[in-house]
Amino acid sequence: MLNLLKGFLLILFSLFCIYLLEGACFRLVDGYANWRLSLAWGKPSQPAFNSILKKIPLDHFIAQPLDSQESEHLGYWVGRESEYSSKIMSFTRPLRDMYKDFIYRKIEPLANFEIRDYDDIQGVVLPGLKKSASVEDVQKQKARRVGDGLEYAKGIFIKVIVQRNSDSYRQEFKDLETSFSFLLERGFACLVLPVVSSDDLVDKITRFQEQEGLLAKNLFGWADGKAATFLMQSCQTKPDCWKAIMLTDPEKFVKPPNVTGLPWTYFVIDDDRRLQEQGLDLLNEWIKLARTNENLYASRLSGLLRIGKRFNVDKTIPSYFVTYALFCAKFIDELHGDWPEVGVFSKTKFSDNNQSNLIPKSEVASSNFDLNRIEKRNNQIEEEESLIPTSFTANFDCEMVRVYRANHSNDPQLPLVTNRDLILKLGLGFEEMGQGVLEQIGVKDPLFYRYYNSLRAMEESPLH
Amino acid sequence: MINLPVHSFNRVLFLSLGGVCFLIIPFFWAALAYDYKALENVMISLSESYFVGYPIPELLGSSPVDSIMSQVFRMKILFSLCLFAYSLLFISLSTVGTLANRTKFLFRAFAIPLFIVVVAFWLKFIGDDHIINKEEKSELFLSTTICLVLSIFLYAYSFRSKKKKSRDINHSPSRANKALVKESKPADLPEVEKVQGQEEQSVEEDAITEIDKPATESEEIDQKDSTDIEPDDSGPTALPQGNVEIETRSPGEEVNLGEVIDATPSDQESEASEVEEQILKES
Repeated sequence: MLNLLKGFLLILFSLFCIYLLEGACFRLVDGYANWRLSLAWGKPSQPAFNSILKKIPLDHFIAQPLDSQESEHLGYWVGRESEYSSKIMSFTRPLRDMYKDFIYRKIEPLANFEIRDYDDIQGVVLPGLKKSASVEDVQKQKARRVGDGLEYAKGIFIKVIVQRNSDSYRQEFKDLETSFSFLLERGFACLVLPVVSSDDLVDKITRFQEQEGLLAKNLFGWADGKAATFLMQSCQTKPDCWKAIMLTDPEKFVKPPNVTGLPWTYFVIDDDRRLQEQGLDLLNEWIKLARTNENLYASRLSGLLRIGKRFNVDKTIPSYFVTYALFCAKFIDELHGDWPEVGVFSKTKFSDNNQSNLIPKSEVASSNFDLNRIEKRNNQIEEEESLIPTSFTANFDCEMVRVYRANHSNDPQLPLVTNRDLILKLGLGFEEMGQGVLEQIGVKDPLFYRYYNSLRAMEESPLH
Repeated sequence: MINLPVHSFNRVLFLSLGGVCFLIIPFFWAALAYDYKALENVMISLSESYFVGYPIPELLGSSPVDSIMSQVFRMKILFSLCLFAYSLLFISLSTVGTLANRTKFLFRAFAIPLFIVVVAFWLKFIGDDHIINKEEKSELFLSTTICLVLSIFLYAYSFRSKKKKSRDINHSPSRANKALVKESKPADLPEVEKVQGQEEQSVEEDAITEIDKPATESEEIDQKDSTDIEPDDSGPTALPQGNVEIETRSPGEEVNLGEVIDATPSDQESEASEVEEQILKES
């Protein structure tokens, strides 16, 4: 019996050691991490969950927070989304390690790359990739004869900035040189693009795509603050303009276009944004729409949200954006041009979750403009929305209150106390405990903090 | 004269080490309470240090949003707990019976926590979204290798000490002889006798002789010439030299010594000691 127990323990220990070794390989070896992803999800062109691996709690099979049926406030949802993003993108960690190391070591990053100016766009750093022109290219007048070298790139990484003066542009370019170098070595062209508005951005990009079709086939945009808002607005104007957009703490959130086939979207917001809550509903919509895709890869990796920490300090491109763009380009490459077309988003079809979610763009364009049909459709949507219960009603439900109620479940008087009063009572108690206590509680439960502050403001208001 | 119990050196060492560790805890807290800056600075700089890109307090369970004071406090508590645990361990080790057991437990008390710490760190590292550069990777590799090798070595050594003891026992002369006797077949006996010589009889042979002739023992001793027996201080196993009349078996007669010794080991020893005492009295 003792020997049997010893044998069992030995097997358990061996399995644990294998688990650790496998985890270490996944964490540190880029090739293995990508191989495991393809094993779990299949090829990008024929994606499917691996039925055996799905039984193991691997990062690739983590449930999307949007799937959760809990009626919680969006502040909590943001936290869960951030966790989801880090887990689902965990296979990029070895590459991110490489990037971090590259940033520290690289000297004269752009020494081997050509920087070229185009009409509207200046300072495009080219990776130096060339391919032979085909008959088709000659017919399209992209090349003089078959076999001529044509410049191309796997994608263009564009840092969109708000146009101020030439110094700001130069400084931005200088800060990003090392990051650009990492992307250039992997076949990306890079560029810093100053714009004055979203229209200006769309205008410049469209013209550039028309001129340099091969080079500007896949565009990946990154912007922060006001420029991030421009980038979001550009998606409203022209949703198929970008392959992926990466947005750092946009100044203002914009309503997403009501289409499917949105570019892959990766948001990074400050933790304080969670407390403010402003625009989180729009963010939620963006992410929902970005994920409406038939392809498993796109539905899992498009529409990510992360809580950032040092994005105001670091001047380089964040490692998670770099690997996101690289993986998106790889995905496009493996799809062989089978990128989903932009179509009108159909809510009923998505709620059924059985049918295809896409109405092809061509079909939309060809259909006649019918006012009665649109009105009917609007009424239908309104009816549907009225049936869906709003999950974000202000019932002052938050984690702190729930924990308090759970801990004092024996108290017969407690069910009689409303959440509102409980928040006020608890908040006052925390304030009495000393300076900074309430702030610390606010970090752990931002919603409680916000409710308390709002209620205090209401209590202290002369109108009360 | 009063006989005081004498502790072995290592037992005293463990006891004092445990005591010192135990005493460090109040001294540590007293120093901090009386604003001993250097110690406070050590704790603060430790809280600002990094290991494989992780802040040390985070590895000890602090949250990144915690204030530096709470991080330092946590570290103080953990340091004190660690000291307390090891002081208790040292003190309890001093009460353990044998040195071998003491060493065994000591090594295990270092090896197992070290292994657990390494495993826990790796579990955290694998699960976290934490990016490291080359230097940090080297740091991780070195620290893991050293810790693992050390813990495995210590753990293995904790078993080895036990074996060493048993080997030592096997190497003790009486056991060695016994084993030799046990393993020897009747055909090997002449060789043993050759080595030892005809004149120098082994203890076992003497004992057998005595066991074989218990009734005639006193008579034979009486017959001995007291002048022939020289006083010997060499030890309890020393036997009288010269013309002592001891009944021996004929060379051709095979004796299975092992069987005889195994049959009556305690009687043999007691009788041998009686003979020795008798000889000493007479001398």
